[in-house]
Parts: sequence; C-alpha cells; structure tokens
Amino acid sequence: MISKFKDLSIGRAIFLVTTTIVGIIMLLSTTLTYQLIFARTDELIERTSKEINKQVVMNYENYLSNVIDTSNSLQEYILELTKNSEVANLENLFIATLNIERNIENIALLDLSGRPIVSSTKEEIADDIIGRSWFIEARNNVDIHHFSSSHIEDVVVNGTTEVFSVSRSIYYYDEGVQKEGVLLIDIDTRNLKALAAQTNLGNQGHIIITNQGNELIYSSLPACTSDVCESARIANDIVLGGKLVTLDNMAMFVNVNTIKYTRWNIATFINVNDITNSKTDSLYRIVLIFLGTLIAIAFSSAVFSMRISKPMNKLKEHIHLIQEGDFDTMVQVEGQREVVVLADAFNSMSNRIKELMQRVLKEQVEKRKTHFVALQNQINPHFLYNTLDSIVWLSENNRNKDVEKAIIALSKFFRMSISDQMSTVQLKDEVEHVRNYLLIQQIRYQHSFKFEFDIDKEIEHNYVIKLSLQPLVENAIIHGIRPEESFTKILIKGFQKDGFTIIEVYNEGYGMTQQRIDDIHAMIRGEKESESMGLKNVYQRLRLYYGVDADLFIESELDEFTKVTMKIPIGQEAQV
Amino acid sequence: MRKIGLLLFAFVLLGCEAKKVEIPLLIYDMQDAYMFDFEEKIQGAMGDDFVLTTVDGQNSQIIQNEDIDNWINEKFPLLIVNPVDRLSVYSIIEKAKKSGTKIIFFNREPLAQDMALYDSVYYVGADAAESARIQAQIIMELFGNNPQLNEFDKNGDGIIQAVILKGEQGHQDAEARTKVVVETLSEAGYKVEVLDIGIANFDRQTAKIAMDGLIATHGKNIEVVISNNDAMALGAIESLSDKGYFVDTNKDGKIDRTSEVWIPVVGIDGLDIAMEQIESGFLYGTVFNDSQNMAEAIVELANLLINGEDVSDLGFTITNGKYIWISYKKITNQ
Repeated sequence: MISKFKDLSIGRAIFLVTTTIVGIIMLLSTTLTYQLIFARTDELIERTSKEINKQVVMNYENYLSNVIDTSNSLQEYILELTKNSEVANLENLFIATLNIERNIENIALLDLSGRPIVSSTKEEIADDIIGRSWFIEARNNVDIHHFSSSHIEDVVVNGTTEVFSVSRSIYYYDEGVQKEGVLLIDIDTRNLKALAAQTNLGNQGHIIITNQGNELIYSSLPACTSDVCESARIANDIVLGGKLVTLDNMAMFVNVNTIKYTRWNIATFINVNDITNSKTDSLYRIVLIFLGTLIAIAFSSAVFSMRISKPMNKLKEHIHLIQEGDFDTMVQVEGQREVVVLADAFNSMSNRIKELMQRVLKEQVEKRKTHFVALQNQINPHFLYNTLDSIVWLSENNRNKDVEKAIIALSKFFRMSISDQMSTVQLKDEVEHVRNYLLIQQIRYQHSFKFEFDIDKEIEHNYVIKLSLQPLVENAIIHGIRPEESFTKILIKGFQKDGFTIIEVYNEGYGMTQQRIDDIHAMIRGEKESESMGLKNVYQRLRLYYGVDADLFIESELDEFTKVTMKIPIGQEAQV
Repeated sequence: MRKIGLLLFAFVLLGCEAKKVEIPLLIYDMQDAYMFDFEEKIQGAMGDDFVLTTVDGQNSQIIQNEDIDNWINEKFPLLIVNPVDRLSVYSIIEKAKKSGTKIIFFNREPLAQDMALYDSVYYVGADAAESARIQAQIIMELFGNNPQLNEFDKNGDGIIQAVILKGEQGHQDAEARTKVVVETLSEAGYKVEVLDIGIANFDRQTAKIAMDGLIATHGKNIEVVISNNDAMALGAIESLSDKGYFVDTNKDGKIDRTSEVWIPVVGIDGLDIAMEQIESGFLYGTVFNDSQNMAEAIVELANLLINGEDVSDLGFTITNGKYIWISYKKITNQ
C-alpha cells in the first residue's frame, strides 16, 4: 500500500490525499447533519401529530361528555318527575331537550321489556326493542353509558336518520315503586362528521372511530366503510399510541387514543407526506451538495496538483535534454512560486554549466592552437638550417647561379610560411610551396632526383593544412634517393575520393619491410618513441585539425616504392 | 480485545445489578387529596428493592394514555395504574397484552370483561358495594340496631328520613354506594325514606351548596345524612353548622352529643380530617377505606410480579387470580 503510494506521481498523490481526506470528512459531517436534521424532523412529526390528535380527542370528548351530562341530568329529572308521577312534564322535558340539543334525534325511557314509558317522538315505537344491541348492552353493564355504533335509528318503526345510540340502565319510579329501566338517547352522526371536518389533517388525512370491539363507528374517509378497511385495521393494530405508516403511498402518522367514558377509540391519520417528502428532498440536496463539493475539491486539487506536477514534468523532460547535451533550450514553466523559482534556478544552473563547458572548450582549443603553432614552428628552423647549409655548400663550390635560384626559392618558401597566419591553405598554394622546397632540395642534392606533380585540377582549391605536404616530400627525398642511381623520381599525386582529399607522395627508394612500416605507424601515432619529427608532426596536426577521420599512412614494396598517403576529410575542419 | 470485551460485560452486569428496577406508578390526578395520600402510602410501603416513579395523569386520559404508551414502549415489565377513565382501560390492557407488560390497576376498577382480556392484569381495591353495606351498618347502630328505631327517629314514624349526597351521576361508586346502602337497610328490615338525593360530585364545596338546598327543602325532617364520601360529608357539616347545627356552645372544640344540637352525618373513606371530626363529634361515622393495607397489597403483588413468582403466594386473598379485595373498617366514636 505504502510502496504503491510511493510509486504515485506527485500530482496523483496530492489529488488522492486531498480528495480522500476531504471526502471522508465531508461524508462524516454530512451523515451527522442528516441524522441530526432527521431525528429532529421525526420528533417534530411525532410531536405535532400527537398534539393534533389530542386536540381532536378533546373535541370529541367535549362533545360526547356533553351527551353524558345531558343523560345524567335527564336521569335526575326522571327520578324526580316519575316519583311525583309527572310523566307529562317528563315528556315535555324530553321534547325541550330535543329542541335545545339539535343533534339529539330521540329520547326514550323504556321499561325492561322494551316498552316506552316516555318518549320524545310521536312516531310509532318499535315493539322488538328488547333485541336491539344498545338495549342489551345497557342491561349487560348497568353502571355505564353504552355508545353504540352508528346505525339508522331503530327505536321508531320507520327511522331514516343515521344515529348512534347512547343508552344506559337507570332508575325510575312507577307509582312510587323504584324500578329499573333503560334511557335511550339517539344522536345524529352529523356532528361527528362536522368535528372531523374541523380539523385539517392534510390531504387524505382522516379520522377513524372504532369501538372497543373493533367495530367501525365512524370514518371520515369515504372509502372506509367497514371495520375491515385498511385504516381501521391499522388503528386496531396500534391499539394505543402513535406510529408512522404508509397508506396509499402516502406517509401518515397515526395516533390512536381513547375517548373518555365512551369505550370508543379514535385514530387520527395525519398526512405527513409533505414533511417526509421534504425530508427526501433535503436528502437529495445534501447528497448534491456533498457530491458538488467533492467534485469541486477534486477539480481544484487536480488543478493545483497539476500546477505543481506539470512544471515538474517539464523540468524532468528538460533534464533529459540536458543529459543528451542540449544546454541551449531554456525551460519555461508556469505554476506555483516554488516551482517557478526551481525552474529559474535550474535554468541558471544549466546556463552556468553551458558557460563552464564553453570555457573549458575554449581553453582546450587555445591549448591545441598553442600546441599546433608550436608544432608548425618546429619545422622551420630545422629546414632553414639544412637549406642554408646547402646554400653555403653551393657558394663554396661557386655555383652562384644555383645560389641565386636557391635563395629565391627559399625566400618564396618562407614568404609563404611566414606571411599567412591561417592554418590552412589552398592545395595549389601548398603545392607551390612544395615546389619551391623541391627546387631548393634539387639544388642541394645536385639534381639527383626528379619530381613530378599530378594534382587534379578540381581539388586545387581544396584546403589542406599549411606546411603539411612539405614534411612528406622531405621524407621522400631523405629515404627515396638511391645514391647509385642517377635519377630517382618523386611523384606527388592529388585527387578526390569518397569525400576525402587524398594526397600521395611516391618515391622510388629501397622501400621498407612491413615491420618497419608498422614501427613508423606506431611512432607517428605516438605509441612509440619517435625518431623522425616530420611525419609525426603532420599526423598530429591532421588529427588535431580534422579529428579521427583524417589519416596518414605508409605503404611500401621493397626495392620498388614507398608511398605516404594523407587523407583529409573535406569540410571537416576543426575550430582551430 | 477479548479482555476488553469481558471487562465491558462485567461493567454491564455490575450496572444492571446496581440499577434498581423502576416501576411507573400512574395516578389519575395528584390534585385528588385521597390519591395524594394514597401515593405516599404506596411509596412508603415500597422497600428499597424498587424505584417507584409517580406520574400524574392530571385527570386526563389522553395524558395518561401517552404516558402508558411511552412506558410500554420502553419495555418496563410492570405498570401500576390508577386509571383516569376506567372505561378506557380496554385499550391499555390490549396494548399491555401485545408487549407482555404486567399491570396492577387500583382504586378504579376496570370492567370485568376488560380484565378478562389478559392474564397478567390485576386489580387491588375495595368493593364499592361493601363500603355501602358497612355504611348501612353504622346507620343501623345509630338507630339502635333495631328496625323499630330508637330516639334518633325524631318524628317517631318508624321510618328513617334520609338525604343522600351522591357522587357524580353515573359514577360507578356513586351509583353502587347510593343503591346498596338503601338496599342493605331495607333488607335488614329498616324502612327508609330517601327525602332527596343531592348530587355533589364527591366534592366538599359542591356538597355544601347542595346541602344548603336540602336543608331549605327538608329542614328538620332530616334524620340522617348519608354521603358517598367523606369530602361531601364534611361539606354537609359545614352547611349544617351555618344553619344552627353543630354549635359548639361551650367552645371546647367538640360537639357534645347530649347537650349540643347535631345531625348524624355518615361518610365513607376515612380521610384524616374526617377521623378528627369523628373524634370531635362533628361527623358521626365513616367507612375506612384501608388505603394503607391496599398500598401494602400493591407493593407485595408488584414484588411477586417483578420476580416472576406465583401470585398465589400473596399474603392477601386473591380472587379469580386477579382481584385483591381490601376490606373496609367501620369507624365511629362509639
């Protein structure tokens, strides 16, 4: 892992590290925020819907305890009025109560056989009341008010109104004797509905009232008409308390509570879809912000790391260039300050190296030049001495004509040697120079050799190193003249071949063995102590001037000839 | 790692051991003086084994429902509940049954049909009818334990002229006490004429006003005042004091029944102040609702239930495996 990380480029490492750290921190803080917000939201949903439920329950309790109060008052009056046999007044009271409490549909006092003693209605009372569930329940539990489920009024024969019945066992007096009977109050269900309509429970929010036998008393949801509907089932399942459920793809918070004194349960279904949706919305928003920030961080980190790594890479490539010897290209970078400073430092370093290298090169060249000039100058005194020696010999023999010739040739010869400061000369000038030299030597050697030039016209203007041909010719004279023969011949050939100017100097001397040739080669290449300065001098100057392509070598056949060849690459002069 | 785990486990065990079992005690309304006393008695009877957390229902079943829902959701093993509305207990029992929570109800008796819904519900209380029977005995004693009646039958007609102060109309106890006291007297051969029933909702002040009216209507005909509870009885005595009865002529703080004017007033409950007034002769008698004994029964039952022991080991008689009936005591100055 770590080694893998070490292998990463700076750019990638910066990018990975920043993005990862920021990502982790953001993820943590986002999750925390999300949980905090949503815990609060859930709590808020629960609390709000509980409060709404309480309000609804209290509305119903107020309404229904009103009914119980009415019933209790009626019971007191029943006891009092029946005791005094004022049944007609009781009937009036029932009718008056009906007028005051508009939602009461019927009030009836029934004996235990279900026959009416007093009733608020003029309509015909049913004769099978003893079988009505509200009657049976009132008798089963004599202590309490019984609240029936809603039904079409059935105390009268032709009832039409939908009511719920409040019934209970009570005492009354029949001719002074206390008896038990049943008081029935039928109540129009529209008030239940009105109460439900009062409360805003949101879209599709509704109220379900069931009794404790899980029978549906009332539902404000039109679709829920029996106790097997989904809402009633949920309400009965919760029994008591609150729960978040999904009903018809809508989030509903359900609270189930009891309604005091009635044995009824009321369930409020409050639509919290909007809140839960907004929860999802904010989840999306949070995730979006998270991703956005992460991308922004990743992007800026990428840009930032590129601003460091890109100039670094440029520097790296530049170092490769320098490795290959290119000091001229300057590196141009844009990026963070340090990198720019680094690049600038690098540039000045490479400049400095270049300067140093050029100085070294210059010094080298100076050194070689000095060496070259020194080599060149070695020739002259030696030759001058020999020539002057010859002229002395000529004048001793009174060969004045020859002295004259010799001195003219010598002066021409030296004028050329001295006059020109250039290292190289055109071949024709070198040939002219050699010709003067040969003339001088002919005088000295009393014409014991002949010479001949065979130089191609086209190479006459090729450049050769100044005073390079003369030592070869000097050599040919020294080793090529056979005293026993009247005329030996020295041939100087010049031609061009394979990009080289080739100059060959032949003599018809004794020739030499291959062993001797190898020795001389070794000597002129500086591998062996040198006997003769001339050839070595030329060879070294060739190499100094033209490099490794230039050459000087000897071929020979015993008793036949010796040939010294000088190979000069065309257009490859060194900076001397 | 394993060591740390063991250590944690040990801490958890220690923590569990150190923490006492908490039992919620839900009182219907702490404003009710009787329940306030009762709560103190239960707290007093509870030893150090448990922590009783009292929750005031503020006479609202909605509030109590919410509390019960919370306690049940928090998986408390046992609730002691004095319900606000005994008819709403059905839902509480159903809810407890689903979660396996045990419940002891007290003071307000749930319907028998609701109690039958679930095995682990209990009721500790006194039988309202019994209190009325004992109240009737006190009245019989007053009249000399003889249906022929003694000198307290002021008009000498052989019939007890009584006014009844009744609790809330429709209230189980009020209905039962009113009905049974008359029935018991009748069954014992006493002739009773209920001159009037004043409904005073168990409340002293309401009773005083109701009594004012009753005195105005029936005046000297009243031979005995029968009250469904002590609070109303005390209200009645206040009213009677205003109308020339219970005049402490010798200022000794007591009513001398032979020399000073009084009317027998009989209550039920045995409140401390009622006991004092019996002592001083204002209140004739009361039926002591033995809340101390009841509190002890509740605590003992709670102990058994928390420890998962057999409820038949209880030091009180348990009826039908669910009901613990605590007897009333007759209190008079005789």
